[in-house]
This record gives sequence, structure tokens and C-alpha cells, in this order.
Amino acid sequence: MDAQGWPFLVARGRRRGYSVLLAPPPLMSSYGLLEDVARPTSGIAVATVRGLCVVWSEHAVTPDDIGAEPRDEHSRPLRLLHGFVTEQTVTAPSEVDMSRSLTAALDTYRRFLDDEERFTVERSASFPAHSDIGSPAAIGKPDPRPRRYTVPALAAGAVLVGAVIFATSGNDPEPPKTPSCPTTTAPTTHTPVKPTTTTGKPATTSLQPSCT
Amino acid sequence: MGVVAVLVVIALCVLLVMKLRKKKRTRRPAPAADPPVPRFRVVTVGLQGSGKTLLLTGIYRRLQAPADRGFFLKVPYTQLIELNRWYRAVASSEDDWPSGTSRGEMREFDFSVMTNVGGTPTTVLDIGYLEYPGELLTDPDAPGSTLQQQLLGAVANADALIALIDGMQLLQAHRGDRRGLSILQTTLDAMVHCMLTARAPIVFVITKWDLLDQLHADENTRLKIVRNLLMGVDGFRDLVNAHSERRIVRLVPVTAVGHDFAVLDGSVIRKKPDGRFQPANVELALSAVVPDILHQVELSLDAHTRQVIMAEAQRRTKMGPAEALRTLSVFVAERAGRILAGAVGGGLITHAGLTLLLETRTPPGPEHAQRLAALSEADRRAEEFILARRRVVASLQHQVAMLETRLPASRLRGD
Repeated sequence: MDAQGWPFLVARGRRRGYSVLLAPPPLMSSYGLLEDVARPTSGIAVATVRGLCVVWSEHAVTPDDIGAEPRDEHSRPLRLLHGFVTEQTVTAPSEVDMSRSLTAALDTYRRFLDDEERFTVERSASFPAHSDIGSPAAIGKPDPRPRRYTVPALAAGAVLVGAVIFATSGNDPEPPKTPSCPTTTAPTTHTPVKPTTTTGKPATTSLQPSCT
Repeated sequence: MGVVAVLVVIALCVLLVMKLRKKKRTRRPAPAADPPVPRFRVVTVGLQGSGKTLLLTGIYRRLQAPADRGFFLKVPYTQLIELNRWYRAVASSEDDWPSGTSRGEMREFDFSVMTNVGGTPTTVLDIGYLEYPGELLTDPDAPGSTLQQQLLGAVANADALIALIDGMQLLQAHRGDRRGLSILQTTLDAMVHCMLTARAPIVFVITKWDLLDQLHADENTRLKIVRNLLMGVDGFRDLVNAHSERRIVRLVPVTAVGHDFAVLDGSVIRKKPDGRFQPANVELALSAVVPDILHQVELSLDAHTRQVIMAEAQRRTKMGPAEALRTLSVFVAERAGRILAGAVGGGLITHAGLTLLLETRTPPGPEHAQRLAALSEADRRAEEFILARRRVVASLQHQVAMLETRLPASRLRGD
């Protein structure tokens, strides 16, 4: 299945504060969600919003990006939160997609800086996504919480299984017990040995074959 | 089949025993009888770039150790990491200024005010401090976002408001710069809207105070110049007048970096390569409002503290209500002189004691002495908490008094 990605951009200008400047068409009526979810990040972040997968990263604006010193009127460096939105789950974001979203974001950002006060949110154009796509349910799903009755249920289950095995085994005589294999690396012999108890006294069980 | 039935019964018994043990665990009483820690919410009202994040960082850094104050702040470790990251970014001459808070970063920082109670550092007060991007106060919320509503709700429900006025805009306004004047007016408009009808204590804080050093060599004279400028604005003057009817309103100048760390280069604030990072007055933003909050609720807080501890003591001594009343009444009678003298204020014992004294007809039971001792211990613990909180308040008030001595112009109005 070919996935489509729509670039988006959340950024502040020299005067205006953070806002969505470039929005995907599926979110044009609720693009404020992107402002709420897109936070500064050191790598690439992924989240789901209303069934859409949002992939973004942070870009520090450079003088080359905008042809001027990248600071707002409070002397703070400018940064972009840019990325793309897909209708499928992204399991491994592609650098190609991120680069493409950055290009679209910077185009929009330059237009925004030219006239911040009158700028209105732009609608982004889709591109074929190169990122790995997975199951929609895989992202943002919290780990299952440990169940409160796990231990008793397991204990009861074990007892029941034991009961079934016992019941289906009929009245066959009890098979001879076999000792567990020794963990020692000492060579084994074929000489029957007499098991002892932990006290060193001879056990009451019969002689057992040794492990081979 | 009989064996199977037996094993099924055993399995059911295992389940039952586990469930009963769980219930028993949850019923086990708490080991200590410390009172619940009161929590107050502080919200800064400041536009973007006014220095909210730097003030937050500065407050924590300044108050993270007791020094000679007798109290200190503690934050959850994840928040500590974030505050330290900001601090490093601000304090380093080689790094740029922090980029500012995005909308997605709006959250509350949890300050625990710790002080010594009975020889142990104990939380006596929790302060929630909201961090948010300033544009939420001025820009319309985008469709689908709820952050602005959340912020306005937080401001309306705040226990104290810290209003930030950007020193850079004050400087520009003083110079007659139109952009500076425009932003300053927007700032003050936002404050009037959010704070005029607020009942919570407020304090005005001038951030980036170091940028105003050039106004005058004397700090108090500088503050007077700024105060006159602000009081000349109708909305601001009305706001001060409205609040000063209830309490003292202060204007606190702060610098989160110090007077020798940054320099104004045209319209850009740059870090000096060899600048000295020495924040000043940052903690006073909190000091000016927290005592007011506590003063307002002190009596009810003290009573509540006592109620909780005494209730816990009664529970732990396994008394019935009638027996608890009898024991309490004796307890109160024995201590009435001191308590009723008002040594610790109007707590539970004072209040309830008058009633309970009338109930002392029944002779005490065999475990009377032990129970009396438990109650006495609980009351002592309650007193320790109350006194510890008062020490914190006294320390905060002392800091504000020092400011007022040094900068009399910091008192805007009020008695």
C-alpha cells in the first residue's frame, strides 16, 4: 500500500508566538492539535492524533535558511517543529520524508517571516511516503497494565492443569522418580549410586540410575 | 472424579485466600500520622519572551538548598533534569539563549517546600508552578487546541499570580520606542484582564532588570522611574489600586542572569563572552506572594492539620467515638490552660475542647494512659508542622522586608 504524507510546520516568528503555519488537509479543521502534540525533540518523534500518525523533529533555523539572523525580537533563536502526517502508522520514519517535510516547511516559513501579521495557515500538498508503515494500533498504545489477579489465577490454573493430568492418568502405578542432572562437570560413572538426604543419611528411596 | 473435585476446591481456596490477603493489606493502617500537605497553585502572567522560563529556573536554582533560609525546594527528578538543562543553557556564555516554550510544553512544575520538622526534612507545602508559552495570553487558540482554555482556567483558579513585565519593553517604552510601547500596553492589558477581578495575592515582577541599569546608577531611583512609568498607564494603576485595598502590592525587579552577563547590542540581547552569571532577586517573586497565601488560610490550615492528625491518632488507638471523646476531653482538660491561651492558635483542641469538657463524667478505661500518650504525641506532631510552616513564612517575609529596606520603591501601594 502506498502511503501519503502531508508536511506540517509549527513555529514562532520574530514577533508572533508558536502556531501552526503549514497544516495537512485532513487536519485543516483541527490543526491546533498539532500545536498541542508537537514538542521540541532531540530526534524524530512519533505520535498518533485522531487516528493520524504525526512524525516530527526540530530544526534550528540557520541564517542560510532565511537570509537573516535567526532570532525573534526577544533575542531567542528560532526553531521549527516540522514533519509529516500520514493515515498509516509509521514504524520507521524515513530521512527522505523528513527532508521533504523540511523543504516544504522552510518554504512556508520564509513566506511567514515576510509578513507575520497577515499570514494565514497554508494547506500542505501530499507526497509519497518512504517511511516504513506498520499496524495502526502499534503506536501510542500503552503497555498493558499488570493484572491484579495474575498470580492467583496462574496458581489456580496450575492446580487445575495438574488436576486434569492427574485425572486422565488413571490408576497407573507411580513411575520411578529420576533425579535431576548434576550440574558438576565431573565425569559421570555408570555405577549405581545410593542417594542420600541432605543430612547425609541414606534415603529411603530405592537405588536410581545415574544421569548419562 | 472425587480427586478432581478436591483439587478444584483447593484452587478456589487459593483464590479466596489471595483475595482476603489483598483486602487485609489495603486495610492496614498507615504507619505515620503526618498531615496532608497543602498545595497552592502559582501562575505567572507574562507574554512571550518576558522571561517566565528563566524566572522559574532561577527560583528553583536559588531555593534548591536551604542556605540561611531554613527551607528549600525540591522537584520531581524528571523536572529537575529539565530545569538543570535550561539552567546550563542560560548560564553558559557559549550557548545561545533557550528557544522559548512551545505550546506542547505547557505543564506544571511541582515544588515541594521542605523544612525541618522534628529533626527530619519534611514537605510542609506544595507549590504548583505553571509553565506555558506567553502567546497563549494574546493569540487566539487554533481550532482543535484547548491549551488557552486550560491556561485561563489555571489563572482563574490560581492561589497567587506573578505578573511579569519585560524589562526590555520597559526600556524601549522609556526611550519612546513605538514597538516597545505597543508590547508593554498589550502586556498590561492582558494583566488587567486576568487579574483585575482576581482575589488571589499578586506581585508585579520586572524581568531583565539588568537591561535597565543604564536608567540611573541608583537602583531605587531606577525602580522609581519604572514605577512612575507604569503607574502612568491607566489600566495598570487601576489594577494596583484594586488589589491594594486588600493587601500590599509590590513591584520586584529581578534579573535571572545578573548585571554583568548580558549586553544589549542594538535590539538583540547577547551574552558577554566573559560575563558573570549572578541572578538577583529571583526568589522574591515567590517570597512576595506565598506568605499572603498562607496567611489567608493559616487558621483553617492549622485546624485542618490538627483534625487530620488527631483523627489518625484516634484511629490508631482503636477507640470508639464515645471513648475517643472521653479521652480527648481529659486530654484537653489537662492542657487547656496552654491551649486556650492561644499558644498554637485556634486548632481542633481549642475548638472541640470546650464541648468535650462537658463530656467528662465517665471514668477512664484501663488503657487510658496509653491512649492519652498517643494523642499527646499526635498533638505535638501537629504543632511541629504548624510551627515549621510558620518558620518558612517568617523566612519569606524576612526576604521581602529586606527588599523593601533596600528598595522602598518596590512597594507600589497598600498598607
